[in-house]
Amino acid sequence: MYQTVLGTSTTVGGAGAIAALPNTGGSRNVVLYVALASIVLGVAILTSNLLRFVAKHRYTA
Amino acid sequence: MNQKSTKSKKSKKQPKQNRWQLSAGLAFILIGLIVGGISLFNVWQGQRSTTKPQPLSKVLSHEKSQKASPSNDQSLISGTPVRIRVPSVNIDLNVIPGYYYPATKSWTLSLNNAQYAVMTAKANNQQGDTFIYAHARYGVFHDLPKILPGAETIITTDNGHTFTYKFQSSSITTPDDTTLFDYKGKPVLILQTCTGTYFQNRQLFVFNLAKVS
Repeated sequence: MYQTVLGTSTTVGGAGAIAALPNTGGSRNVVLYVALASIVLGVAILTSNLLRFVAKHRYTA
Repeated sequence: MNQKSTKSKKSKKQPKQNRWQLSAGLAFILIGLIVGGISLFNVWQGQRSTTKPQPLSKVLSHEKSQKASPSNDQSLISGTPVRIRVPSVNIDLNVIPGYYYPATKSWTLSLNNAQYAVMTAKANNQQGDTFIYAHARYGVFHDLPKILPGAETIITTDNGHTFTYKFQSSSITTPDDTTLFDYKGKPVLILQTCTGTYFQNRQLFVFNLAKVS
């Protein structure tokens, strides 16, 4: 339908074969990844301290 | 005696070390939450449209109802877009062809150019939608959500024509919403970029043809 008036189709089966719109995402948010890494590091430090505390009190009790 | 004093020194150091580690852990978490929160806020702020998005079916059905009726004294003017300018949001880009591959269900993409979906209508004065898409990146379509109703977009074609469109409305939809490819109404321009925290949605900006030169 578009071919006669408005331009050629370059998909097999014409525009009806299109399953999705283009994936036009933005730039990767590096700051967000750094923030997540910081949170993970903080949690890791606290967890290791907690485990050490539990182990110490378990074996000295 | 010496062993006792070494042991007591060590035990004094231990609580101090633990306190530092706890402080460091909490500081990392706090900094991460603050920085992450600010970053997410900026993403949300940047994607906020100045106009409220409408459902795509509503926007395009309005255009369709003013159906394409080429008048006898209006000859067809059309051309392949090669440049797009949206002065109100500082967009000035080359337009290159964009193709869709049914086998892989994927589109060709460019980091820095806008792309004209070649299976849609060329810029013309009679019928159909001209679909141009680009990434939501700085210097590309990042600032498009800031566009106001009535703002102009100027499309230059390969044969030297200039099509001026005016912004009507935008729509946020899912990637699998391909209804725009069924549109057959009066000539419109549809620009697309991604939106959402993870750019998981598609924002479509519909423009009406204002003039051709």
